[in-house]
Amino acid sequence: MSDEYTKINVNIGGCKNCLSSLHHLLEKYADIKEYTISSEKNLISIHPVHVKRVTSLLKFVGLDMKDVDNHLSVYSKDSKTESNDDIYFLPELDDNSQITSRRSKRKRLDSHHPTMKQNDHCIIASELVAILPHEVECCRPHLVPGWCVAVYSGHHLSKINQYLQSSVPLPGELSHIKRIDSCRSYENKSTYVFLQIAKPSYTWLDANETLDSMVQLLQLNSSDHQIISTSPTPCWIPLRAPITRKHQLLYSFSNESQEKRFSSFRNSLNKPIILGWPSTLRACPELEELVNVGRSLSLSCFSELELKKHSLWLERVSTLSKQAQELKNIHPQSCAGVGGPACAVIIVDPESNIALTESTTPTTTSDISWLDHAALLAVSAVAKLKGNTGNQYSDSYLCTGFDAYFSLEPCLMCGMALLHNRIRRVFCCQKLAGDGAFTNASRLHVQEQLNHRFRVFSPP
Amino acid sequence: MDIAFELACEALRCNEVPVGCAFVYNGEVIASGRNEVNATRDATQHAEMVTIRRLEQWCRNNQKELDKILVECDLFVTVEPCIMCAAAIRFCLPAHLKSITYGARNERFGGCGSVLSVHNSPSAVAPLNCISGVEAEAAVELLKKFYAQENENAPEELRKRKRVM
Repeated sequence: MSDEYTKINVNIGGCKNCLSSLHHLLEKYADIKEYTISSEKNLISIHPVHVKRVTSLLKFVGLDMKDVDNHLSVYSKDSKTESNDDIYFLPELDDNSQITSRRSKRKRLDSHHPTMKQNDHCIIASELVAILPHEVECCRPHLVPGWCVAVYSGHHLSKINQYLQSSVPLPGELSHIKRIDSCRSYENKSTYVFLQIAKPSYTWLDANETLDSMVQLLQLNSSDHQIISTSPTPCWIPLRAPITRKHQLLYSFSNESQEKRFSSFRNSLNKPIILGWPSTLRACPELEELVNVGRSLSLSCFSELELKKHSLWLERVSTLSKQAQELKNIHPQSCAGVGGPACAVIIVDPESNIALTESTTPTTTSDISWLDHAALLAVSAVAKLKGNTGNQYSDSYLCTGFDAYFSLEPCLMCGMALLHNRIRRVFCCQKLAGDGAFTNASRLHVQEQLNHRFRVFSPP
Repeated sequence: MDIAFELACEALRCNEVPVGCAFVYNGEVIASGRNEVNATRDATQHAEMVTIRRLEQWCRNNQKELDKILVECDLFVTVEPCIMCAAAIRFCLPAHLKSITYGARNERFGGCGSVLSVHNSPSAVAPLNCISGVEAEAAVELLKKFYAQENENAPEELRKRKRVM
């Protein structure tokens, strides 16, 4: 009897770290083989006998789920009753408990509005934010189950660390995990030490055995204020290294409200569940500057003078599109599709702050092409400009070093045309929900497989 | 597909990335073209884009409506359309092609599965009907010749502008 797989809608929003922690949870922790994940369709297909268990785990780590099939009720009784460690890692009230509060969940994509309002244009550059890879923007902690133990702070910690390092070394992929949780404060000058990732080959029993061996060999005892608990404590740790300072804080659950909210998590055995873990951040100052664009002026990559220049171009491109909009005829040349708003593009040399070309659609020429979106018109105009010998741009390579200002975020065709032309930066007055090249799933400007990457700024 | 390959060979002789394509309507080639990026110094002049514009011109000359022609057209192209061209074909034209047949995969920019799956990504617009791998080896050979040609020309043309993929 071959069962059809049950489909679970789960929104990971394009984040590769969410995808890898999802795979880890299902494959390496839960030891499930019968599943597939389609990140494009935000869909998990899984054998029905696993659905009840998987939905509990996913709900706890804060993934949005919808429309779980009715198979759940049929198979809930037939779920495999083989022993696993979920009882340690899931809280008692698992129907109401979720790690991620609603505030920190990723904002859902705006609903698609075919007729976009012109007055939604943002022409103040300081209000734009950098559009970054999904992993940078993701607000989930990417937690996976592990084991730790409560100990008192003191000199014996180095002995414990050395012992664990030799008996249960951490795999290379967890090199960001600090073995001793010395950053967060617990009661009674205590702290936690991470033992190992939880998996079928390292269960509570294995962790307990490691603990017993360690206690015996190092002659630890509770009366000398060295060790507190004599059994492993379940914890959820971040599977991936933090990318920004924001992630480092998020992963360690150091935020005050975060800590208060989750510090009292307990499983059905009334044992604490430790959430998050201190992680090593490999700092990337350039990325931190981008993260702060539109949020903290002094920390971002733009000076106030630069922002003024950008604002003037944004105002100009917005004005151009409004003028073009007054032509009022339905036209095929909008990145938002037939019936979409007029579009305008300006390509600027930021070194001289001079516009190389301004393009708007609709155009009034008779031999109109469905491909003649404003961006394609603009880059072709730059190509022709360079074709004329003698001007300062003859020898430059395509649009290398140039900025592009858009009244509306370009579509996939136009976004890729900019990539082929090696644009340097793109500024958009308005996002194109669903079909835009930069703020949706594709994010062409940060695709690792493509041979050019550039910066994009748009309203949040 | 033969005409597409003839055009790809022509592109190779002209130091262009060897991609050729043709639109077939009622068994007849009504538009064709090849990569013209280097000649025009315009990185958007891929074979597919050039040929779509020629198809539009053919429709104007013959007083046909583009959308009615597209639904009966098959596109033959030697290399998988890039993300830009796949997006143009699927999202920017007024109707869907009957089919797209291509040869080699495009590992650098492919929009029909190699880099992104523009051809069938979730959307309100229907997916493209793609047939892949037709005469792929011949297309790969042309690409290899192009890269070998690039290397051979490099010392003598140091002053010339970089080639555009």
